[in-house]
Amino acid sequence: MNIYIKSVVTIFSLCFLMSCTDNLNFDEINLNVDPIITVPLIYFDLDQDDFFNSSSGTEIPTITDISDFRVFESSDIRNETIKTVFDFEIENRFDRSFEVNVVFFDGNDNITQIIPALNIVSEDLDYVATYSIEIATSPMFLSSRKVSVEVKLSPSSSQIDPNIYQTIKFRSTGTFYFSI
Amino acid sequence: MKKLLLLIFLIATVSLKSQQKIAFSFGETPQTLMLNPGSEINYKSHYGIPIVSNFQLTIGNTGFQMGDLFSNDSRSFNEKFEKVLDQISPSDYINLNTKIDVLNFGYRYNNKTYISIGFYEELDLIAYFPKDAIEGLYYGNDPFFNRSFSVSQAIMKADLIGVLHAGISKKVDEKLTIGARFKIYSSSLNIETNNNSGSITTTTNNINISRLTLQNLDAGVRTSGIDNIEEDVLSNTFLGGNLGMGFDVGITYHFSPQIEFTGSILDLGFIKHSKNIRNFTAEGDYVLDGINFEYNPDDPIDYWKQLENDFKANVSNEETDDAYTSWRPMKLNAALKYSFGERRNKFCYAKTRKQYYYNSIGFQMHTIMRPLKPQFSFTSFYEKSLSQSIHTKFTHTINDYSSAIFGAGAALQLGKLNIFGALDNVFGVRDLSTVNNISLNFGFNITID
Repeated sequence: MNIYIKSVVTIFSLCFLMSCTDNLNFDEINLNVDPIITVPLIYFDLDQDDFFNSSSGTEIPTITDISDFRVFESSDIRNETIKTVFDFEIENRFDRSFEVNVVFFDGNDNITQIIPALNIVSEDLDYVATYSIEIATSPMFLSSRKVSVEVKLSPSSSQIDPNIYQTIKFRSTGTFYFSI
Repeated sequence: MKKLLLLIFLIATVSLKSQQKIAFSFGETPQTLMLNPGSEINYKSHYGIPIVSNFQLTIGNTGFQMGDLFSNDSRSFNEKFEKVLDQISPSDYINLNTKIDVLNFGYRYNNKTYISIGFYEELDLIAYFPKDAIEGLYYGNDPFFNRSFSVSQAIMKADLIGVLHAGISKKVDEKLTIGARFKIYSSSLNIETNNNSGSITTTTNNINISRLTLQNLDAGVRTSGIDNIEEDVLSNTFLGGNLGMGFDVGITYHFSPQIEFTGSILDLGFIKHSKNIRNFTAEGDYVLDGINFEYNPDDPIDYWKQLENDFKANVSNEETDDAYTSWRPMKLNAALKYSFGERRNKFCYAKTRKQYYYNSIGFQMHTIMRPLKPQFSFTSFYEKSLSQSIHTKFTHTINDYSSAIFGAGAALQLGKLNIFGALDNVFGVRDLSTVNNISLNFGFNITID
């Protein structure tokens, strides 16, 4: 009987004693999570009426709109963002050129980031631009809480005719690179 | 999020799952009685040694092996992680189950009736891999334009319960033994999510460069006991938590002295969760094209506020404390055994005798009802009695984890001390890098003939 008992005990003991983890390595568990998130941002369609004051019969050379931009209110997002890329697509059916300025502000209306002016020549239907912000070199961008888009009609000898339908379409996305 | 991703995969590789395949229909141990209340019991009484009368532990994960993630090679951990992420599917799951008998004893009421009573603690977790969500968290949406990320892949159920039980095994005649067990469940912790629907998709479109679409979202998580998880989690399992009830039923039938069928249905029951409830739901559809600047200085718009309000109006998100019912994962077990070889008599209780054979072969089937689909397990086995006191069992199992799981078990009777031990996937223990699941089951009981 002792032999039997020893045999069974030996079988179970061997199973455990022979457990092998030599070919496993638990010391280098270092997972780098770097998701890239794309979200739509600002878009608008403007026509000739947006640049013409029917009361005075004169052009409006510059129009501006502004919105809160609360992406970086979360400290987690601030701490984990390493780069942001803005993509712009503009379709200009005006026979006039435009300059578009995208500017970011902090909560006290101090400028945190200016994207270089987008200059769109007349009747450019496929204008595209990309602007990248590295947080390491532009940490102020993380303080941004508002964004404005200014649309400037470039000076011309001819004036906007409110009876001629013309449009400019603006599209934008933001791509946020995280390192978590 | 990084910690969350790591946690999911670490749990997956070290999680514990109960199979109990080997103990079913094996010998005359108290463990067998817990798996089939209709087992034939041939001793007068038994007394489980508290805490160690029956201990079960199993590792299980169908998606990958330890070596896939932790192999000692030149690849970075990210490379291994990405390969694993690529190979898993949403039907893969991790499963953790451990059961500890706190008290277990039984007593023969008369020649045909055996009564057993006890209390055990059980931790059970099953979580399917929400592959879309993990990939979305890991890679982001940018590489996956036009891909629909499904919310329905989020399926999990976790329970920590105490079970007070009383069972009766009744020998009807020489061929038939039937039994039943009544259970009172006390749930200390329950978290479950299932039947979710909805998708998140990033696409290109004509309104803006990209569009995010949340479609048909209808998701929810039901929980009880998460608020007092630190102070009351164990004490609530002793009838202090949310209560429920259930039954086990079982049968043993001898077609002939050599052919035996055993079958059981376990945990046919439910738990009514009405205390310490926190349920979370989200429902709706939403399309995000961005912010549409209107350039109207006469009527300036708070675009961000408008966006938030629009989202809240379309996607409801609420927390409730509504009571709910949680069904126990029912188990079906069945075995057909053919005994052969040398035949011996064994003295049993009340000076009766039982004939038994030194060798048996047979097949077993085990099924556990799970949220996505039942888990099936098919086992062939060989039993060898080395003496009247030493019984061994060797198994080969095919299930979701593998088609080559080999197990071994032994039951020893040392005087009045009954020792039972079983190890499933014995080759997996030898090389943990290639293992999907391991189960361990042992118990120490005093049995009196």
